[in-house]
Amino acid sequence: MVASPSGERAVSAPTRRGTARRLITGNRQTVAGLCALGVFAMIALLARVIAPTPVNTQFANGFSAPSAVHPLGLDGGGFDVLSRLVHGAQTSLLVGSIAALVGMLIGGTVGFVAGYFGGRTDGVLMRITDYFLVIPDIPLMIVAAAVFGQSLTNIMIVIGLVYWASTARLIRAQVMSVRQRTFVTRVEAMGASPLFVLTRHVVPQVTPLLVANTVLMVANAIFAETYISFLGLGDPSVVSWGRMIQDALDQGAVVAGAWWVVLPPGLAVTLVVLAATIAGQGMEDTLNPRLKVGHLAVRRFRVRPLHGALDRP
Amino acid sequence: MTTPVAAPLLEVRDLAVDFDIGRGRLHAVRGVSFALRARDRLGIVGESGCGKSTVVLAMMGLLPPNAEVSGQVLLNGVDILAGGDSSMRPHRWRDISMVFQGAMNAFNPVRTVGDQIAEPIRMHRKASRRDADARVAELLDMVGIPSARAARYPHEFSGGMRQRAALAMALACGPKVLLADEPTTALDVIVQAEILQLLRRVSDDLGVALVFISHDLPAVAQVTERVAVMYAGRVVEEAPVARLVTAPRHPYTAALLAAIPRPRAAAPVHSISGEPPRLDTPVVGCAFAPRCPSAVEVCRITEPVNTFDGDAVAACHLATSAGLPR
Amino acid sequence: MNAPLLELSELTVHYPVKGAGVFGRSGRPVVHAVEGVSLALEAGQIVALVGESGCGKSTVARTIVGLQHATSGQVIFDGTDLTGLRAGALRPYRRAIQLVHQDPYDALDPRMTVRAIVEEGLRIHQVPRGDRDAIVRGALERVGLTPADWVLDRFPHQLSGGQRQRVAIAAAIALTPRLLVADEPVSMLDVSVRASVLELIDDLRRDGLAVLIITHDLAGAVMLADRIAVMYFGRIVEEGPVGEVMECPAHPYTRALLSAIPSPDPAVRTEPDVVPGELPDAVHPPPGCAFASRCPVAEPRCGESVPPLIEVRSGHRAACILAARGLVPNVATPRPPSS
Repeated sequence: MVASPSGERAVSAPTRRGTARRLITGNRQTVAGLCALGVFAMIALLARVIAPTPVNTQFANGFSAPSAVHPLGLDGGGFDVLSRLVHGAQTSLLVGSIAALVGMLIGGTVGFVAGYFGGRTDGVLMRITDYFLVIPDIPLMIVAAAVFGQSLTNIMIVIGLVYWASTARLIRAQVMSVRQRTFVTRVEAMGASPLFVLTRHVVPQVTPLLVANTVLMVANAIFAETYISFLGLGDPSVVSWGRMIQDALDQGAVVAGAWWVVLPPGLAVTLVVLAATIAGQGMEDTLNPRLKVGHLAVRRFRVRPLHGALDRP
Repeated sequence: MTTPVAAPLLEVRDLAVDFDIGRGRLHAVRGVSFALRARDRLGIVGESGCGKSTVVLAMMGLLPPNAEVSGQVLLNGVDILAGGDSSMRPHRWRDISMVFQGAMNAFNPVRTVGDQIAEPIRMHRKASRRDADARVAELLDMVGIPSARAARYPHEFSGGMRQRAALAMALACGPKVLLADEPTTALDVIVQAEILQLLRRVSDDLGVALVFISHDLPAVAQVTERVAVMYAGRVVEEAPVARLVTAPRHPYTAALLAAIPRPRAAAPVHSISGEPPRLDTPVVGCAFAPRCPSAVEVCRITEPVNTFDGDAVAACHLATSAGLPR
Repeated sequence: MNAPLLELSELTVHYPVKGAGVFGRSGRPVVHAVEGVSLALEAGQIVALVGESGCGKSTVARTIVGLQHATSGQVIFDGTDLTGLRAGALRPYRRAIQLVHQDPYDALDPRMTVRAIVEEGLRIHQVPRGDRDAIVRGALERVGLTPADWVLDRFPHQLSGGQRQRVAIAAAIALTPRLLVADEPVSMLDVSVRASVLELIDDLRRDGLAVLIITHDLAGAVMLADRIAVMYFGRIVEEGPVGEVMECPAHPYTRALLSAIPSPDPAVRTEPDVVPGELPDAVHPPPGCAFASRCPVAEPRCGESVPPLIEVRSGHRAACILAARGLVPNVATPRPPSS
């Protein structure tokens, strides 16, 4: 009579769903960061509803302190700061997410291909990656804006192009380490094609890290968008936080003592970038591989019983 | 615990280690006691998870923060565990030192081996560079490494040489007790035999008391005079090695011996079925009972107490002085 | 006598030293991992390839299963030379030859259930879907993991080392291979578990399987092998029926290995019969016998040229000029070389 495995510990299954759940909820930092990002995303989505007044309406001729009608006052051009802030959230978050996605797609693909195939392919791809790693980001963005025009799409692509390289390096390293694992060589020896191994073994192991890295990239991208706009290279037809900061300085808000024009966008950028960074780092922490030895995991000092949970007679 | 003739140099009394693993506690070591005089050589044999490495790490005070250690470790009558790390530190390496598991792979690759052996000397004895180098040469000679090699880097040494260097490092401050945790496990059999010879020689020449931890009973038998067999956090048998090997008193020891393949013997080799118990739940009765071919009712209910027989002890309800009943 | 199922003929594997030059292959220093290895294996036979780490035995294993390219020589399986085959033609042989790895803790994808792991090979080789469940269950029962229902939905981390290794073996035999290459199958398992896994491998030959077991544990190999081949520094130095090689080793290295195995009886002191020394440089191998620097009975002539494998008794060969001349103690006088 085989005893049923009683008292089995509730380890979250290493399946796709289990890992996703662990990634999102496993770490207090991640949860906090993701919640904050969620709040900002909601604000951005409901911009039109939340904004107290239309964003493009000029209400007065210049600065006006916060009041009941305009909770954050009016900026130098007479526009409602809160409305602009809320609409700016749309731009910043949109640009940030899509740029990060572009970066993830390029970086992830390069990382997977270079890491898996190795050899010449790896050599060539890594030289290209190194080049992109070394390029100074701001001058590149300035040049790109000047050459290709200042549209939102261009900004998203440029940011993605600047930041994909570090993702590529990270993913490549992870892919190479997974590729050497015994369970991969075992399956290769059985006759599995490279595509089979990639999709069934490598990608599932590496994707969580890619997700975590993408969240971090969102932080970078939002910040990058902010200072592109701040430098006046942003899309002139949309409101963004960087643009607001630029306008504030152009309009002499600091000299005029109009703090309500400078502070809100700066704070907003800071908070969003912080939230994304905390969430991304929290995710990377969750994924930190524990020592394979299993006795005493150095990071968290968790001891795992070495044997299995099957109770056999 | 058996009573030694002279006053013991090192005495471990009821050592117990629990780990806090978040969702409960792991009782890794459940009351281990033994004693050593100068020049004694004790082996601790057991399989993975039995707690043998945890015992020696506890003796050195090197367990992670989530470990709770109870019991006493008496060095010349003084409990070095009593005052936490501060009471332990002065003794570490000077009185009691350790060759860790996998020490041969734990060298800093960017420093010479001589430098690394000199490090504890300079730290503990505040020796000058010249004195330290002289001592390093002396140590290398003792472990059989040509002293010219001191200026070389770890990757230029073979596995066996690195293990010798790790031994030299452990002996650097002239300890009275040496704990060796699986010192030959990753080595080839010929190199292993050489290291076993070396351990015997070092213990004889320097008068160092040796505790040799391993899963490899034959290797332990070659070096030590007494062997303690551990299972599930307890010592189940302790005896002079000749007696242990020819007339084991605990069924687990007998099963371990039956599992050792002999190159020229015709006797079939047997496995032990089943698994060691989970240590995150308290053990009821004898920990080995579920797998024991001789288990009877009482074994499942009551934890066996130590049965003494001259200089041997076994924790088994069925142990008698004539050896195991058949 | 049947034609051998597997025949290695002068198998040689050199691989380039890492980081030694980027351009061109000529002149790049190489590691002489395997040098002129010849071995034969018949169906239902178990041959143990024994040697210490770095002797090239794992490289031989990897070359047989196609994870490593041979520099020269042949791997002949069932009459076909595998070394020249391209990936496509090699595929059916990747089913017929299976590898069991040393590390059961890393050999199973931690994200897959046991069922998925054992089934994976069937998926790769396009076994009809309907047949798979029965084959998977059959394989698990064959390796002693019964009833299969208890393991099928488990993850590797819920199994012990011995159980994991059995799962790996089940995954291998699910494809009904004809040759099993077991690379140190029990060295990472507890001593008390090893015998049962080795017994399982021994039992598998009832199904007609041939097994090549790679190990450094001479004593363990004796348990199941019919023949044993001892490797040193990339070459086979002794080969023969296991009982005979253990009783009357002809090569000084085999004698050294045997003398170094610790006996559990403390009255028998293990003194390895070897001169202290180290392995020669694998990038610049010496011109003569590689063991000469550690051999207790070496002569100056040993360093002149690599000794060939000479038959010292029927079916028992050794690569030692002293063995050929009957000068190694404890060995019966060899028969004169047959013409």
